Amino acid sequence: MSDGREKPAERILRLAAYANHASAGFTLDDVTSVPGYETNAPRDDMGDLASGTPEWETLRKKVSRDQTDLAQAWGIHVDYNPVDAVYRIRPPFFTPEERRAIIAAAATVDVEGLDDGGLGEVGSAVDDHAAQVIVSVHPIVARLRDAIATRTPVQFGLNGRVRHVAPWALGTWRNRWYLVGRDFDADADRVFRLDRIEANGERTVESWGAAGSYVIPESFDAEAAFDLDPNSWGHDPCRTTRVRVEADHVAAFIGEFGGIIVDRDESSATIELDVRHYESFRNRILAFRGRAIVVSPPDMAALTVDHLVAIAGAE
Amino acid sequence: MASPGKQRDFEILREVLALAEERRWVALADAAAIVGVTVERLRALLEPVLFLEFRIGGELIGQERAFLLNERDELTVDEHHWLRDLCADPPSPDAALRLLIAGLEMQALTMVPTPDLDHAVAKLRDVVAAELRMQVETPTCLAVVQKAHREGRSVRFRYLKDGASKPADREVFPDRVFAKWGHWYVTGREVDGGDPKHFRIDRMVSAEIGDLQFDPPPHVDVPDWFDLHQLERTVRVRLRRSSLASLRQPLRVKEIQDLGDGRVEVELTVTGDRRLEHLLVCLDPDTEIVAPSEMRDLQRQTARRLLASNESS
Repeated sequence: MSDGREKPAERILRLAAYANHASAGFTLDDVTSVPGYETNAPRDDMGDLASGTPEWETLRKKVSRDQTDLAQAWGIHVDYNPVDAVYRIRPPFFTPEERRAIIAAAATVDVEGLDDGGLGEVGSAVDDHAAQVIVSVHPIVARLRDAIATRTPVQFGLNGRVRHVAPWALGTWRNRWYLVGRDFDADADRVFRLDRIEANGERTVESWGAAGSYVIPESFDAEAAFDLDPNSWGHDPCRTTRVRVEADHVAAFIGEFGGIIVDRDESSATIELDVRHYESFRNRILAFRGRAIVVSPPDMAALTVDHLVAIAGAE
Repeated sequence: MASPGKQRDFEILREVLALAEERRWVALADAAAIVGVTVERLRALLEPVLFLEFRIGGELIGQERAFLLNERDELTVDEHHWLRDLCADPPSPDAALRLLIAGLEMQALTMVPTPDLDHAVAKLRDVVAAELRMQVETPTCLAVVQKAHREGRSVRFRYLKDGASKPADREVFPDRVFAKWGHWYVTGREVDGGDPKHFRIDRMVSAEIGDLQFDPPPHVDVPDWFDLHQLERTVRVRLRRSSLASLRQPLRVKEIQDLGDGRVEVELTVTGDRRLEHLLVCLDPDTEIVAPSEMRDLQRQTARRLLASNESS
């Protein structure tokens, strides 16, 4: 299909195809057999390309330029090893199977709120109209990711105060984004809800110190850190509590609290769970509007009833 | 460094070949419009990719079967996107973060082993270089609803509306199943007619495939937002700041002033009368309801009603 003129793009693609074909490696001499790299450079008595001649140098520079173009345009790296004077292609980042799997994920899950890197990046060209899952990423997640990756402390506004934090991990819980890290001001580990972060009315996070200025403790347990159910992190004495739940509300109750079913009949189930945050537990029980009743122990049952009595009777 | 012209040519090729791989095929005219060149220019740029073939000695080397431009001017990846197969560069950190989130969600939704996805996710974690935990909801009735959608069958379910005491029986043609705002929804018309509605799948008490068949429409939009503005209810209160954290979400809090004694004056906004009643009975007895004044009566009435239901059970 050539019109006789050398097309650099075509030559560079041939170099890529050849590098892939000669995966064990190839020499500059080998390259001269690829169309576009022919040379009239002198050869030695053995017929090998003589190095150091002007023609040799011209060819070497041409291959070097094309190596650079391949790397910049396609991410294909053909590395030259001066020890054995051999070019070798670098292994791919994703195997074809891995790439297909992640493209399928990108087609299924539309992630909104992050730069997609431009058309051409893996997963950027999928038709997201057919996505099954739409995930919204909070605008400061990318900034905090940078900070975590470089171990750079940050500062941000929260509840009218500036917080200075070593960020450790990001995550979601019940459709909200959170940051876990060390709060230098409180000298304690803290969880911050990202939609509450603001400064002067804007959601901003700024660097507060140099990169590499903290380490994430080896003991840090990200899974536990993002279990944000108050019954997991609450500081009230743990009480094993039984709640009778109407049958139609059992799934919703377990979705809200977890727990295990210890008894069940046609009309209701009794669910047992550990409670570590009484106020939150009471409020969540009240959301079931009488369809979930605490049956034991008595003081936990009284928690809800006494509260309602106080509310109902207070003037 | 590549000349600007050559760089742009490669960029166009990269983008168009990505479209062909990730959408399975792309019309040449559509691809040309997306990358901003004429069809003829794109055709010329694609030529070396489509017909790449050369001989080394007696050996034929080529990738001429990798991509195909058919007689309808549709570009497909016929065998494999060999240029991407050779790409050693990781995605940019932001692109990796986006792919990692997609991969983690996909892992959570898939019921079968996914070794290739797992390996890809592990590599992306290294690029992202920050611990990321995603909580993914998979309601128990999801699989049934998805199956009904795939098979073009109605789905019967018992549906417990937000705040309702008893579930209602429904049968719906599931036009689209999607997750957004952290919840799974099915969009569809009830079999006895009416406009399409959205049902939260986690509010289904039970679900089964129905007997009625239908053809799912080719394209159903996912709503940008459910406009619940008219249902918003706001109450202004003075309460201990520490009590705010225990109030149940979703809830919008607007701080009016710090009262200086550990209490704050805030406006609390919820959606719907039931959530308003719930909010009111969750407030501590010492919380001062500032406005509207009738909220105090509503709080007492709701508490008495709940006490009565507690006693009757």
